[in-house]
Amino acid sequence: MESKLLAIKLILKKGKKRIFLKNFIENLIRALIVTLLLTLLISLIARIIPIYRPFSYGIYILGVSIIVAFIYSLYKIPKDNNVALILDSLGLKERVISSIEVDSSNPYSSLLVEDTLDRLRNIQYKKGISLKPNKRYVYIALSLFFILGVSYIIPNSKERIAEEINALNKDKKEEIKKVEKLEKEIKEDKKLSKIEREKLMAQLSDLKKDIKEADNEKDIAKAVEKSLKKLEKDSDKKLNALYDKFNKNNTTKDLASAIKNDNKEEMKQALDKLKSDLEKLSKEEKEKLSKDLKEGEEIDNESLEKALDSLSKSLSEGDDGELTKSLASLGSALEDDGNERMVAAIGKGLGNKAGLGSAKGSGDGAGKGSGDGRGAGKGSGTGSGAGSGSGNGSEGTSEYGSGISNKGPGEGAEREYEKVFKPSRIGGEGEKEILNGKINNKGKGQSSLSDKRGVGSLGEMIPYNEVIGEYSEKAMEDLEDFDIPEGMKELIKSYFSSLED
Amino acid sequence: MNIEEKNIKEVLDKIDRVKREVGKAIIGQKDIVEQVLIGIFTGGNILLEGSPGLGKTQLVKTLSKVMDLDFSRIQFTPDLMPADVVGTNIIVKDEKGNSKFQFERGPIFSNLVLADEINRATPKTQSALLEAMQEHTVTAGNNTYSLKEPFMVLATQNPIEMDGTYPLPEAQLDRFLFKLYVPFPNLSELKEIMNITVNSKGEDIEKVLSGDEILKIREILKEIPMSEAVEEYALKVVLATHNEYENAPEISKKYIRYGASPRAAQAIIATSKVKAALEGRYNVAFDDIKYVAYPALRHRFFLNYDALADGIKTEDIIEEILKSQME
Repeated sequence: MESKLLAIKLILKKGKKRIFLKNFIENLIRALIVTLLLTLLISLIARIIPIYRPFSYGIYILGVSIIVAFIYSLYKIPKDNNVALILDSLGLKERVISSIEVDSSNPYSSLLVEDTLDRLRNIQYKKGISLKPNKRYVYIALSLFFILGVSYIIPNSKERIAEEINALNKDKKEEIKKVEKLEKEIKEDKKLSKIEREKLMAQLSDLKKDIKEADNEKDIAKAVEKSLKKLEKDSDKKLNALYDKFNKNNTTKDLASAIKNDNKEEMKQALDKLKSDLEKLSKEEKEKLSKDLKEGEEIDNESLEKALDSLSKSLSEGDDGELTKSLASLGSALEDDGNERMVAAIGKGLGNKAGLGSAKGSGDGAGKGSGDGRGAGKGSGTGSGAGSGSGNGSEGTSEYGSGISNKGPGEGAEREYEKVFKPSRIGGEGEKEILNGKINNKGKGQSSLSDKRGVGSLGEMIPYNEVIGEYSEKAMEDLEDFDIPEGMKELIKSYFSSLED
Repeated sequence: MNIEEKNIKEVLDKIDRVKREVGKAIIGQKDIVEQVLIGIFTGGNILLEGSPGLGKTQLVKTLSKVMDLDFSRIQFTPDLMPADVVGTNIIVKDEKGNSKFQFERGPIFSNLVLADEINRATPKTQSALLEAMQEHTVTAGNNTYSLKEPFMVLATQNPIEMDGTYPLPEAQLDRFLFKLYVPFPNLSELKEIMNITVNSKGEDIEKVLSGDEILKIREILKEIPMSEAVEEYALKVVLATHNEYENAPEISKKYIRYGASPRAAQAIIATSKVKAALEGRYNVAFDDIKYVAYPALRHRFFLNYDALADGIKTEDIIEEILKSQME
């Protein structure tokens, strides 16, 4: 009897698998119906609210539904008793369930099991447990599919808007990702002081917020540019503070000038010269210099602050050995300014987006930093023009310059710009002659006059992006030459950068 | 009792033969014959309701012949006394000529007792019979006398002449295993009945079983296995006759005044095993429960006035209960 009971259980197992398969197919059809319903709902909503690719949600919903259907079918696998009852319903009159449950001591057990096995082997349980799904569900699914198809064909007026929103969101995500990468770098950078790190992180956090709130690409670019400008301003502030400290004393004026120009090579040379100059100073002069170095604004850079303290101390103590060391540490602090490095990295990381703004290079190039592109260069950096500018201004050490807000040559999207009237001079632009002008902070600048003046005459209407660079560049140059308050300078810079938008 | 497989096969064989033999004398009424057989093999008493002349007495007589059982018939009338049923002490003279009391057994001392028109007798006489039905004993004075085994009462009720009768109270009705409605035969059955009874074309009935064998068969059939699912179904059916049962169908809650007692569950389970054997199976099926539920339940729960007003019958309620509890 044991072997016969085992044989019954084997058939039960096969029955169980078939029932599971049947249930799974039924659940799949149900999952498909749910998917079609939800997709239809989404596609209808997409006609009121812009939803990007509403029908693609159907694929995700279907995937999830299939998994849920499978898991549910597994969960609902019937127990042996239930399988037995299902097999019994095929005409076995509860023989199977009775066979499973009967005690072997019952006098009927053997007869019952034998009778059950005979009948089980004769019934076609596969026919009885058909895998064909419920027809009603199939019809419902087909109807929904048809309706969905019709909905797909009918054009949706909100589709374009949805695509635009999607593109913007993608952009935002990309930019935020970049910002987060930069945040990670800042966190891992050991050379930054706590204050510098906090300031940078706060700035990037604000930038992320602005990007999230941006309504279009322009806003993103503006947010990035605003952030970069702020960073630049902070960097300038630090440079200015350093400059002020060193500029008070004649001995360190060269160094001050190099710091002002943000020229590493010059700084190195000035420091080398300073070493010998400091040795020649009298005690009083050293005291005075020490005092000058202590006064003024605090530098938000731990290594610089330390170096300055050390230098000030060694000067006041008159310790030449310490002096050399202090100068060396000042030199390395100036060279490897963690904050500046991070700001440059930020500029490089986000520069693509802000390439429309004004470029400021802090590289080592000797060029004037005014490419033919839209970017207006300042200083001795290698500001390269962004967008469709033809200049790459790559006379510096890096293609993009080591400054902030640079964009590679020829990058940027093509845009149509409003045309403005550019007057031309009859007789041409005239020749330029060299006049010796005063040496200003820009270095050996030269300006020219022409003795052949043309008369203003008819010009041409050209896209303003082709002239704005020139105008911006001229404005930036004049900012340095005229005595304009700092706040106003910022206003003017942002005005010209907004024009480029 | 040591039951072997060959015993089981013999039993099923004999039951089949009994059916065939009874079928020779009783035309049609296959369900009635089967249900009476179920009653006999379960050891219960049956209440038959039907018009006169439908062969109720003939059925009991035939059964007694096939099973070699003593048969007696008691015609209940309003003036029938308990002593007329169970017997009484009479004064007799012994060998020495002295008077003494001797218990004269009544017609109830038989294997199969046909209590005709039980509802015509007074409640006192009815209770004498019912006590014997329940205890299988008769008490006269200080003496108790056991009735012959197997003992079974087939009581009848005439549904037409209900005036001046004493309908059995509900508590007494509950003692009957089954209540059967004897139907009027159809044309072909009627023809066949005429052939047998009037045209002398009846066949000889053979004896198939004895009283002792019936007792053994009862023991064997009690062992037929019933799965938990089937047993639970039977119990749910009985519970569903109570309107406070949460899974009772609406029809129960609306029309039933009193539900069936646990005796109904015992009756269903015991009789379904015999039914399974009559079908040639070694286990009880849902269909067996459904089959025996009607005769076992119809006299055990009671309808309210709403049912009377709406023309709802017990059969309708039983059908609904069987369907609802299967889901």
